[in-house]
Amino acid sequence: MSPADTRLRIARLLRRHWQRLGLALLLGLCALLAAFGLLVFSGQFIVAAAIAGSGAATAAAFDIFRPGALIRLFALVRTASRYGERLVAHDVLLRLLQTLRSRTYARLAALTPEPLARWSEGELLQRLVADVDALNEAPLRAGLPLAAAGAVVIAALIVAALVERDFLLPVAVALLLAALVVPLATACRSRRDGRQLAQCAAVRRDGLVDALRGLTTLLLCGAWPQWREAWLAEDRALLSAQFAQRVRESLGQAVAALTIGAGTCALVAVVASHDAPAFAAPGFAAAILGLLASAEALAPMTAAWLAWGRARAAAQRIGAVLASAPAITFPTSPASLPPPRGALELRRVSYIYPARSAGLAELTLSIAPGARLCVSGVSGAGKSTLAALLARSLDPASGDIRLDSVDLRDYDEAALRSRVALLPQRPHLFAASVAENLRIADPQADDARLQAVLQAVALDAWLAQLPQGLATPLGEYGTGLSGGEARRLALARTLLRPAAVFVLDEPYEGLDAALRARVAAGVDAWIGEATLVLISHHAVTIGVEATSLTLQPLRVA
Amino acid sequence: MQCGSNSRAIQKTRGLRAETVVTFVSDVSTERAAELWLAARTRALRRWTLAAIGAGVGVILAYVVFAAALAATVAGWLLPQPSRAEVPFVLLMAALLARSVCAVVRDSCAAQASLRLRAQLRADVLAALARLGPLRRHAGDDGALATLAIEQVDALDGYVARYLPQRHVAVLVPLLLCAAIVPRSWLAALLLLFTAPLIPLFMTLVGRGAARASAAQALALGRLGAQFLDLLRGLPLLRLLGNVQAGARRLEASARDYRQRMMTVLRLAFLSSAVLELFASIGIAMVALYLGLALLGRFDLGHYGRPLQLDDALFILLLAPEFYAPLRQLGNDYHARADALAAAAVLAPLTDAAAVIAASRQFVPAAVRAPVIEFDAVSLRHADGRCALDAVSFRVESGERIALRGASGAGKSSILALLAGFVVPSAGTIRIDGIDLAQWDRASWWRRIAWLEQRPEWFRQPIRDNVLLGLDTSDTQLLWQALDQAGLGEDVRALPLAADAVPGEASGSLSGGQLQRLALARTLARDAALWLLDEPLAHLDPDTAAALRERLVATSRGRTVLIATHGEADCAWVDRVIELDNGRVCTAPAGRSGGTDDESG
Repeated sequence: MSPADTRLRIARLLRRHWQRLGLALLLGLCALLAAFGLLVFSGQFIVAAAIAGSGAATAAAFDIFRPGALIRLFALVRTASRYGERLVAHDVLLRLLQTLRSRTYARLAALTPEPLARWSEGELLQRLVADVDALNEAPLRAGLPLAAAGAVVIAALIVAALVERDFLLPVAVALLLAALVVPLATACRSRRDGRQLAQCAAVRRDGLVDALRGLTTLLLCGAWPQWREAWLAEDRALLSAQFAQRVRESLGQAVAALTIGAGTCALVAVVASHDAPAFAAPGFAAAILGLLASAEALAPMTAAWLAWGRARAAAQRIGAVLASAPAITFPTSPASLPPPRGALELRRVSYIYPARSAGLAELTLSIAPGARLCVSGVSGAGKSTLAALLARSLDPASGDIRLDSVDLRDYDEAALRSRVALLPQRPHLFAASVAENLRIADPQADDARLQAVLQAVALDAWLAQLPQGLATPLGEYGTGLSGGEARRLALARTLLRPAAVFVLDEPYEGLDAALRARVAAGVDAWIGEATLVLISHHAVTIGVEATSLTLQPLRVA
Repeated sequence: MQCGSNSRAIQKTRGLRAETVVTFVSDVSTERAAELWLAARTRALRRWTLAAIGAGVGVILAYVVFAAALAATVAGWLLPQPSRAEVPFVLLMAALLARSVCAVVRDSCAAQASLRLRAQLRADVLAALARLGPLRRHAGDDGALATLAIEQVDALDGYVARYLPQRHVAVLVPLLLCAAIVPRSWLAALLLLFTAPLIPLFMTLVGRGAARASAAQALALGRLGAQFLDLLRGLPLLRLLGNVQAGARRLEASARDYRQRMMTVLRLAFLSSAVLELFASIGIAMVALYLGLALLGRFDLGHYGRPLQLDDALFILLLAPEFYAPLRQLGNDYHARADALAAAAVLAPLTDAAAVIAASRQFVPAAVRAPVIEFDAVSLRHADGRCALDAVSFRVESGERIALRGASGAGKSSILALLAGFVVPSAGTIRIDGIDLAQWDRASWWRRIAWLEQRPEWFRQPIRDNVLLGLDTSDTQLLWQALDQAGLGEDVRALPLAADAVPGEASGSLSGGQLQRLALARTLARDAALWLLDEPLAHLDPDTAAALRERLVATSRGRTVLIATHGEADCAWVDRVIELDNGRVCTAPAGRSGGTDDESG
């Protein structure tokens, strides 16, 4: 799918909220036009009053009630519509967030584990979240202000044209410059600089993280002062660049304000070129005040254009991410499958990572239902690759894997997931309660079952001291848990799956020998008849009849 | 109170960092503390802030001149009166230009203040981290600390660059405008003042509402963003567990929930700015009506008995919107204050805690030999009152190799941090070669120490620079000798770029064990007399750990070594084991070394 295609879809997403967006726009326009009208009409009223006041007869006949009521009306409309606009706009913002995120999420789900897993390592996911936010803000920060400014510009032009045709040119030129040319030029420049700044900022951040990783060493070696000065100088240079950018943006705004002012002066000059006030004097005042009043709507133009540019770039990046092809696809119509027993057969299975001399070569293996297999080997020998292949997070480059005599590639996703449960090496714990984390694996499990599985992984004592028991929330990335506890909690979650094959990648990492034996026994008892493939550095007793397999690292000559 | 229910809601949900910050800020007393900290920080920038305020006032003065000139010119054209002096056209343009120049100066000064504050604060954060040394881990992982030094410091930008000057401008400008209007019509000035009953009252009204709105909004958005990221990170796992819909449902439900809760908050919060808006509109409307009536001659009060002129009326009308504009701007900038307070709440404890250690240290040792270490009833208490070490006493002879064994939290790392001088004992004395450690010159003491911990310390620089870090030499022989002794020489020679390869990049991708060897090579090149090893083999697989341990055994002879460990294997090769339990030294059962099980994992 091309990025342009995805962008269209995002536009369609916005369209779902067009009624509310339209309402917000309408209310915003009302507010701005009322503010504009308030000033224009007041000016006209005053000048008319002054002219009428110079003759006693006309002064007595002058109707002050209608203009008075209109001015008050403008005041009220402005307040009410501004309030309404802010409410509706924020409501849309939050609604949009809801749809935008769940849509992106659903689209990304198809891309797991690859290529999504690769991105989780770096900052890509973080940037994606920021991009969705930037896109989300587009209607509020760019769309509405731009539309409102457009409306005010048109209103100002109409007022000018109604009053005197000669006014049209100076007003049009001033507004064109102030609303379009100057802000756009500033925004373009800022965007170009912004890209450079972002790059410098990334370098600065990497530098800091690099130094923090080795901070103690830097200190003890006496290299810290020198490094610190270099980094602070880099930081100051970046701050100075930001400063220059800010001054430039301020300059842009000043120039825009100046053009409006110059337009006003030009109007005065146009009047001066006429011999006598050949047109309605109140109208003249209205035109001048109208031009000045439009400055309020034009002030956020630079920011609006910048937000517009950001949103477009964000949409492109999101599109590029969503357009990548999933590494694994499952058949949609399930083949007729035998009842799950948990027999695994690998025939000459190979997988070699591009650009790394790690992987599996020509592995042939047969695992009987209910067997216990312990896979060991040094790092890089392909242990985790084997685990990923068994759960079909990867497909073998050659050879095939059969589960209960059916090729893994013929299972639909739901069937495969209900037969093979994998505990990955770095399992993710969600910022949710203990129970919520566990029930992801088995939504139907009751509290007793959750307690039982926690006991199987020797977390019963840990559970007992939690302030709210199963309802205790875990922090981000499982903060509050030690590494061993986090691993065992993730292990418990995997055990809750109703699977015929359990593949556990380093489940006992960070446990001492006694605890390891206890957890191993618990796991063995829990899974009962199911097949167990255990991947571990340590040789562990995992049952009475365990077989073991030692993988040798690939050596690429 | 609104804040109360808000913070309860926060506590109910999980302890995301951003949320705890907001909880902190919604508490009035800590908000005060954060504000005081900010005030102390910004005091040094007063000159720039004052300049920004001055320029801000200049903007409005120039506008007053412009309005007066414009009103006079327009009135002159519309109702020519012989007595009136003509206003030069250039005055209009000059006033406009002055206004723009002042605006740029105002923004530049404010940005300069922000730049200086942030540069200074970053230097302070770095200094704080340096004082904490290995103990910085308590403050967060390296990524979080980098965020603290970069993003949290940047969060003060809006406060210094916009809010701080605007707070003063918002008070000064209405007063100045009133002063400009009074000579023409005291009643108009009074009307404006009345519609803005009391500016401070307005400011609190606007401020509270806007602050609550923006804080609540930032909180909700931040929380949703964190949750989104959390669910995306966990997406591969959800798929493995066959429950992708759980994530989607959670996302939908919490977004809907937050939206509903947010909207009730916002409905109230926006009301306060609507009140200001209403006052502003009514103020302008009333002034316009009054001016019209006075011009018609139907209302003869407030302009000193003489008839109100058209130029007076236009002038007043032009100034009326400006009267309220700074207040509205302040309302818009108020969220900057909330952001800054939240950041201050995170930054203040770090920069304050780091200010503790400063003592007179002048003892510079002459001999460079393996030191003798004495702990004499040393206790260490954390800031929160927990006791890390309780009257620990032991003595390590020169060249003796000691294992500190105990469960995590037993005090092993505290002893190492004390020895390196990153913390000072709450009680008791540490003596090195018989001299109180507090007397030692820090830099020269550090030069004698090598530090290895679980996570190998390395830098994105060529291997050569990694090894010879802090040495004023590029001695190739020393480099290769150190690499060979650490058992890394072969591997480095095999790299295409050899010692010029950069770890962490494609040219020099090294495994965890190799990186730990690199750290060992650095230690060997520096020929440090005291080795402090904080579980350096804990993250390695057994084979790699065993190979590296062999190197440690061979190269550590003749040096004083303290190795923190919880395994048996490390206790087998050292001269003596000190057992630690809950911050105390146990009377160690002698010779309990040489365990049966390989227990390094």
